[in-house]
Amino acid sequence: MSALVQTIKRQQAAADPLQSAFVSANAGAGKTRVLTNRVARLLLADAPPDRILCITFTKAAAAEMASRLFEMLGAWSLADDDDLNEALDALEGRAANGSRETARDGDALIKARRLFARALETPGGLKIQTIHSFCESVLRRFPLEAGLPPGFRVMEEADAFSLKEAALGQLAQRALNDDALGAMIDRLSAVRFKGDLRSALMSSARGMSDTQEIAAVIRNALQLDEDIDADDLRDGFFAQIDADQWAGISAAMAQGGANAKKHNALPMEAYGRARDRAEKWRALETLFLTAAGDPRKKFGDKKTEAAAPGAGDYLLSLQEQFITYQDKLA
Amino acid sequence: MSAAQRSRGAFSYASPRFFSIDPGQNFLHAFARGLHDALSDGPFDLVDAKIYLPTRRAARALTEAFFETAPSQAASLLPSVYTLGDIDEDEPAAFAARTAAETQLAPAISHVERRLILAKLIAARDRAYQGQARWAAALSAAQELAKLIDELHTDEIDPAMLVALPPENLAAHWRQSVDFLSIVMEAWPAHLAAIGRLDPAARRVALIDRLAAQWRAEPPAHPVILAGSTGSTPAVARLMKTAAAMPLGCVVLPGLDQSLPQEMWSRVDEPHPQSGLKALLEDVDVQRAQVHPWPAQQPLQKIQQRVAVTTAALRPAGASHSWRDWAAAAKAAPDALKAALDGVSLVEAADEEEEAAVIALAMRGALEAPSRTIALVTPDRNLARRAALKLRRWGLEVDDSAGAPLSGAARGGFLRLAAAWLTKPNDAASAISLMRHPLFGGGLDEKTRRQSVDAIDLALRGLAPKSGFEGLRARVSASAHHGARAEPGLIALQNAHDIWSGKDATLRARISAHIAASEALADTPERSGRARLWAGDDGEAAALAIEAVIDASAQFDDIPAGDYASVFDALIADVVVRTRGRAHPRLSIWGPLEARLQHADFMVLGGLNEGVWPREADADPFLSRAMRDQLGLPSGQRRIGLSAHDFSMLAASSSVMMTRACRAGGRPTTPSRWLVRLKNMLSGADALDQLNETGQWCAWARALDAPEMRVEIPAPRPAPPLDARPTAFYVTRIEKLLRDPYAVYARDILKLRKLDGVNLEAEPRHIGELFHAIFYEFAQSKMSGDDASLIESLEALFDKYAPDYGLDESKRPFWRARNTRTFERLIDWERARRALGAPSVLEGEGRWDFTIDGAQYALSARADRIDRLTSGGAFVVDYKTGGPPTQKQVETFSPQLPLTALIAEAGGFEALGRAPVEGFEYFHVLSPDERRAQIGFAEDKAAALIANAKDALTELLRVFADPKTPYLSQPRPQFVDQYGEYDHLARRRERQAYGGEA
Repeated sequence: MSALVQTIKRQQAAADPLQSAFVSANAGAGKTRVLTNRVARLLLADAPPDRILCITFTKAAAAEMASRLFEMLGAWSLADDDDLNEALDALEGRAANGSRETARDGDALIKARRLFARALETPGGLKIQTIHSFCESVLRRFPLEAGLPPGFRVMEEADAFSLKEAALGQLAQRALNDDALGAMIDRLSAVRFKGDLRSALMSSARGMSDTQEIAAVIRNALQLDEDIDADDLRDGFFAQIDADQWAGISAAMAQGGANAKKHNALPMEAYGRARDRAEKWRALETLFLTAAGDPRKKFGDKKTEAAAPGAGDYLLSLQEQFITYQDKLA
Repeated sequence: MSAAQRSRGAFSYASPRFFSIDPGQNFLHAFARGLHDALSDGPFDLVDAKIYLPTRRAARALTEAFFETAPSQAASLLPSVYTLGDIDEDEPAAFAARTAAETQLAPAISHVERRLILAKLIAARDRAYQGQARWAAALSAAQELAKLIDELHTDEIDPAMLVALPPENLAAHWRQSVDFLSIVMEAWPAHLAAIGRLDPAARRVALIDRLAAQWRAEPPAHPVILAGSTGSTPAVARLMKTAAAMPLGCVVLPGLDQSLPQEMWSRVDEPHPQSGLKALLEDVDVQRAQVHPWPAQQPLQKIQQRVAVTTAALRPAGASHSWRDWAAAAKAAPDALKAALDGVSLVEAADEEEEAAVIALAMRGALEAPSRTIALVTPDRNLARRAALKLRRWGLEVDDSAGAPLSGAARGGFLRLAAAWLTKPNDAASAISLMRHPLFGGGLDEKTRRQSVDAIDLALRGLAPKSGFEGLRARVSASAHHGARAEPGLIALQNAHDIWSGKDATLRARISAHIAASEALADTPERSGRARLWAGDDGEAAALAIEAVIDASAQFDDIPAGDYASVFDALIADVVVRTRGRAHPRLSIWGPLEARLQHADFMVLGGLNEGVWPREADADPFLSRAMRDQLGLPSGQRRIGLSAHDFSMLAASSSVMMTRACRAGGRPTTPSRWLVRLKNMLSGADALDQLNETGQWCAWARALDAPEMRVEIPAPRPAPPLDARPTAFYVTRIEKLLRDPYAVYARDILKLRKLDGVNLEAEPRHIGELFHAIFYEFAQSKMSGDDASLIESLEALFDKYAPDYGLDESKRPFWRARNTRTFERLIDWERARRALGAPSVLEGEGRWDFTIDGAQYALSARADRIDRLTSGGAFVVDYKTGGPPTQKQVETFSPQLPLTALIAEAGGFEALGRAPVEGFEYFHVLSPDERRAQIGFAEDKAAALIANAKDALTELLRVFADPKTPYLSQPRPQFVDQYGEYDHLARRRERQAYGGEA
């Protein structure tokens, strides 16, 4: 079997609505076509169009999929019997050898031709949407179950900002009278966040990952060590690294001598590229420790210091903390 | 149609008399002509007829149509024309005033009064379910609730059916919603009965029914014609049935499709253009074949061919399997198809902007033909506005007859700004926006007003003023530069604020105060604010809307002062301004409702995207789609059918351009289902190209705005003459001159300064100023007492100054712990310093005059602190709240302290006198790291740095003493300022984007 035929077989299998499928393929390999075919087959099998849900990650992908589907259905609506039979055979993965076991009757072809207009007139439209708009529509349908006010609006960034301001203001107001809370804030104020505690908390609700990072730092600071696993601890350390600053220093290191390039720039770049915690941590180990596991004595050289003044000192201070984290992890 | 038939008058047909006027006909003209004919040889004159049309707009246009189609020049009296108001829900039915039918009915409740009462109910619900009510949201929801009540009346659905909705199928909030609606549907009619009012929709239904009853009881002895209505509401359908059966009655439908084969007709479903008329015919029990073509139509063969194409494209889904037959036939007769598509074009623009540009261009082009009338029809008001603005390029004024929101008009905007500012008087942004609004007068003459507003604007920049009007006043008065000039404007604001504050909390009192304050704010010496504010179309619309609210607000609840601005916004959110009298006589912009029964020689159908046209059904906040279906309320599909009817009628105009934007709001769009059908079908006949004129039109639109040439601007190399170059520098500017000479050029030679934003949060520089103030005062103290008491006094200083630098109570706890550490370190450091000497200069100015190559220079510094050591030497200190420079930086690019030391050694600080500098140090105030809290240099090292700095300074000044030396923007890539304040003037980004440093 040639590779092409093989691919087509697999695409057809994945487009069979009777099986669940997980498809992973390169860009341009025909994933959208598989999805479109699957929807078309569902429609052919009399699934009501408003009961099919297609979720994509971007609006552009959703629009693309809808337009391909209508292109396909539109072509059917105009095709003659032979062409339509052939298209449906190809879609359903039947041999196109002319001797069909179960030739479609005229009704089946008529039904296929009408799908175009039927799909266009789906009440509320065909549900080809992004994951975000789908989730939002679920929340809208069941606001009370989700603990939201009915008819809610998705918050704008400026609104979120002023709400967070107000919340922190209330927290501060309480801290003035509540000694325990005050003491906790005092203690957390000693922690090094990006910026101070307040700005760290202001940025925390920007996204879940920020919130988790900050939570990890806070758990560390309050020495809730028994609760934290190694991942949290590492996240706490990663959170102190500012990506822009890191990239700047890394670029400066790359302008240095051979040692700076090999021992500093390379691991710093590796850290920037790393996809998971373990990879990141390994990159940091290579950066801060020698092969023998001893702390490196210095970072960078004259040239790198000229390009990024203070970089060496900064990495030394980070190294010191890294070692304390390593001790905790051990 | 033969001449014989045309001459046959409408009333000579047997009843029930139902007629239809074809798509593509000028409906009102054909109607008027037919009526002239029908009455020309009978016993009645035109003036005896009574005509019922769906809207007032159509009624007005019919008057003109009668004149334009009059068979003779002789003046004739016009018939009476009435409005059924069945299309436009805001339009009341208007029959002969004070007929018996009308006087027996209670009057309708005003929309505003109803909305306010319903909002109270909703607020009560929100308090019960959510613990709090938000008035603005309640007012918006009340609008939706009123709409639902009207729908129930119009479609004659018994609200009691709500209770019968099966509860187990409902999500929790729909259950709550049904419970709430059940309460409303009992309480509301009881309230209406008590005050003797009717819902507007209920009244319309009752009026129409009474009219029908009257006709049945005693058929009028004069001609009665119902024209143009699709009979989409049950009451109007009944009235039609009655009228058509009367001896002198008839009904004229818009665009009933009699060519559709019966097989397809039977499959016409809700989204189909004919679904409304089909339902009507079923309601009135008339066969499609019994409907006659209106006698006086123009023969329009070409249009009939066109209509055949659109009818085929829009055929019911259940009959949509045979397009290939159509395509085969069309391919066989290409000339016929070409003729049918003649005059139709399609443009799919890249985005909304391009779509508007193409529309404007097409409308402008069509104007070239004399006496041609042109209309843009679109449900998208933004597209309408864009196109109208583009038409101004050619001096063409077209008003969108669907109107524009008051909230975006000048007067609406001013009133909203006033409400926002009154609600939060210390908000610098709304104060400045209000005063910058063209309607702001404050009773001041123009010159004073401008000066004063500029001064207030400048004074308000920076940190957010403290709360209340007092906060605003304090901030402006504190400004040494601007305080005096600002005063007149400030007094105007004060007056308005006095009018507003201290009033009752009732809605009525708040609105009255808001209006009075706004009028005062709009006063000018020439014209009173009252006259300025309520003039113009938008002023009149605002006055009417506000008057209605004041009239209806007697019983309304109190509104918290902080909510007023949002409540006012909600109250005027739906108010529309319709402008009059500026429209070009041949250009129009209509919404699909306004376009019904209207005619133009060239029509642009804009915004043909799914969700826009047909419009996405608004989500009903009170009932789910399934619940609406169960109750029998109009479904989204039915509304789409009505829209499809509009589309098919408009598409039959003699010359049509259809447009859409492929992206809107930066996101891909989906084309309207009608376009998708049409395009697909035409592609089957290889005829899509005959329609698609996208390339040509978009190229023209782009060419209109294309720049003639592209000039690359080289990096600026300003080399001003010597006498313009600065010779007096602050030490901090020397660093600037090293790093970014262009910044020195822009600031010190061109005198350009960046303005602060408004309502700023405390930024690092404010924190820096705060600690400078604390340290300044602390360094003057005797340092008596133990550490604890010293820390206490430092904390007291912090509390004293913090509010002036944007750190209010809400931020203090976040600073407390950090302050303790900072202050502990400061005390240790201070003790160490005092052991060696005593502060001599605190925040003091020093200056050193010197010459290089005969040229005079001055170097100045404002030193945070210089200590006189017991040894007789001096020690220079700088407090840094941000990161202090590293040693390397001090040696090369941060010569601030060595240069300050240079001034000190030259005797430039008066308090210090001439003294050798033994060392200098950066004290890092907020250092998180004890070991790096101080960066200091002493003795030989300091001496070397000072000497170096002197040499470098001399060299630098020599370079810039050459008139050929340009002030380059950040010439040293390795020391780039990330956020150079003058980078945009130097157009740095532009060159970075094109690659390469110039």
